[in-house]
Amino acid sequence: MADTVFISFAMKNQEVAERLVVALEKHGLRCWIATRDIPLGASWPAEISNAISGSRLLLVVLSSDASKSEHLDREVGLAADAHVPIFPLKIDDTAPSPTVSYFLANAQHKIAPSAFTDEWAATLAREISALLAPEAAAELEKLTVDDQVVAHEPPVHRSSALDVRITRNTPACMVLLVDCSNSMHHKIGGGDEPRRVVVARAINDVLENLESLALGERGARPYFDVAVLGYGLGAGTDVESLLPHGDGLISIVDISAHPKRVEQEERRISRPDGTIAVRAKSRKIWVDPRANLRGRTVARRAFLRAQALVDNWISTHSESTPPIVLNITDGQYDRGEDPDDVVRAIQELATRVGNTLVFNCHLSDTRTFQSRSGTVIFPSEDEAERFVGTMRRLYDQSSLLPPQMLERARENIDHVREGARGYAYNADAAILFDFLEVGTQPMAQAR
Amino acid sequence: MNRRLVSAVWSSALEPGENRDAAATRVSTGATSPVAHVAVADGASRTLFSGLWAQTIVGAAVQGWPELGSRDLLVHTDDLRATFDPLTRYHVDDAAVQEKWMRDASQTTLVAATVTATEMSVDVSSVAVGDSVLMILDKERGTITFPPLTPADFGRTPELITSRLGEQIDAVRWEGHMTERELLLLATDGAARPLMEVIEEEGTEAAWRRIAQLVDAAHHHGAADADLAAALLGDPSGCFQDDATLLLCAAVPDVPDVSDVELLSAFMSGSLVAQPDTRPATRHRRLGLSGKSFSGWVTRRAR
Repeated sequence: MADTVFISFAMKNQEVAERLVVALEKHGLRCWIATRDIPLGASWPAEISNAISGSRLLLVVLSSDASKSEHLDREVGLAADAHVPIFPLKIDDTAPSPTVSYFLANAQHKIAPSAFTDEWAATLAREISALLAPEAAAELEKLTVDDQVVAHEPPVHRSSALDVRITRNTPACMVLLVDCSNSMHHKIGGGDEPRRVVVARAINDVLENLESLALGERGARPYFDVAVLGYGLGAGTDVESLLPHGDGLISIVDISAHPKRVEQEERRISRPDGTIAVRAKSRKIWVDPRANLRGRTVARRAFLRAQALVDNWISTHSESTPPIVLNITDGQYDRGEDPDDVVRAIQELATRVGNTLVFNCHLSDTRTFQSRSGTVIFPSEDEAERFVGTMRRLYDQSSLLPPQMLERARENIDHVREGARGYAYNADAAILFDFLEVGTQPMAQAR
Repeated sequence: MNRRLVSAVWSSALEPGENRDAAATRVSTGATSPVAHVAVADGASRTLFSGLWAQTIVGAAVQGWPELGSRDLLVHTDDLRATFDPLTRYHVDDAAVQEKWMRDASQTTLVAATVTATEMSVDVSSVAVGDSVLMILDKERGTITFPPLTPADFGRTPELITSRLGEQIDAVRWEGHMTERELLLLATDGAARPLMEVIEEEGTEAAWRRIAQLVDAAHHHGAADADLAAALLGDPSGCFQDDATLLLCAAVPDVPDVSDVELLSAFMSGSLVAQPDTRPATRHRRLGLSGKSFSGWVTRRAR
């Protein structure tokens, strides 16, 4: 197989690939193409891996379809690992996938004409044939991906489709940042309760929902790693875990097993057989209302802590749905505490599925809430044009809602449009709960 | 003409030991013709004991559910519901588990079919709830899909059969025929979705080819879960994002002492032709798969 050219292509480009094979083989070059050369009943991984490592050249057909093919990404990666030169051929204007781009960052891409003729294929065959001649060894060597590149995993910046199932092996990660500064003692807009009380209740609801999603027949399954960090709690404890058990990211299994306390309430439940059962419903409390009279809004410190947690988590969960960082605050950041650069850095942290999402929920005060004029939830750019000051800054620091979350947001709220961000401003309790429901929607992908 | 209804099932679990899909097959001789009762179900992973409920449902569905009217279907299901008590069966004392099951019950999709190979035709009647599907593949004529879903329809909230007593069942029904060239499949969404994508993007023949590879692998090596993923995803190292189950069924010439998978393999590769042999028995070619000859039928090897 020493002189073989391995043809890597997306199935939708099969016709182009087969025409290339015809042209190359007419020119005396042997080709290996999966649709023809994998024997019936053979092991596909072994056949492809052997074929690539035994080839002189991997010709990869790049196109819009190819950019979506993980199969093709893998073949390019195998060729890079095996030091097989890679010849990229673009048949349309679509940028290659991030993985292929990474491996071929320094490669010159051959561009096929829009009218892909057999004559052009014959010219290409001559060019490849010349490249494989002994006197062109130096040219061929240039197409080999060097070891330094191969040694590092390519960063992937896909749009966060978030359609990866959450399992034991691919758990999800959520970091909740909670402003516990002085102003959280104030009442939330449209209600009589202090913001800290509403926020604690909302967080306990979120944790209860995650616990329920993770619950299997034999108890909680390790589907979620969660951190709840309070910030602005005072000197020396600017950022600290609000959960009673552990510091930083904690498995839902441990969260489930270690509530702060359990409160009892009576509930009537209709059993599957139609009878009514009266049960003492246990409600676990993990988070109590917290706010410090002298606490400051040290958001930057909180986001730095979140960045460290997320970065560390991704290093061992690269196949998982990307982490979500949810920030709940009610005011302007203190001087020097604007987390803008840290938020950008967090949003760059990515699993293979997508980039980390950062969402912000700003809580209202009674006075501004009464006018309702300043209340927004999941705004898009056209709405954001009028935002100024903190309102604008928080918008800029919020990620776009991925498709599934956008769909969920639209189910709950009429005006949400394409390009909406995970952001609420001047929120009352109801908007906070809506925000958290949408913001934790990917967690429902638990199997 | 002796015919046989052959079948095979593959099921791949997203998480080991937690496959919530279920499949059942029951072949009977019928009054004059062979009859295959087949069913697959996909237990809703968000509900507890849904795998057990799916097994319960397919076990009952192969007792002729495709022929039941809506009322009888509900009566039969309620009979199962009345005795379905996983909390007692497994001595569950975890209050959270008890409460979640009481609140959500167990839930599953279902597609079941009765395939009858008469002298003149192969008749199919089917009933389905949710997004588990029946497909009939013909390399030349294309694919029939029931319920008529597309890949985009998966991942939404499907109709489900719950284990809650008296809850209505939103079932749909289909009756039709298949030829001896055609392959009947029942699939849960994990398997149906990638298969439909192959059919949409590359055509029925490509789907047939992938399944043929799977059956061939099963015949020669005893196909494993990974083979199902590789076949349907077209990706050697692929794995499903869900439990995935694929049940195949075809009407083929009967050959005593030959396994279903061996016959399916010959059928899929085109080496088994359903024509009466008019030549003397001594001239029969050997199938070459395991040294058995197909007495009474002409066989040819695909090249």
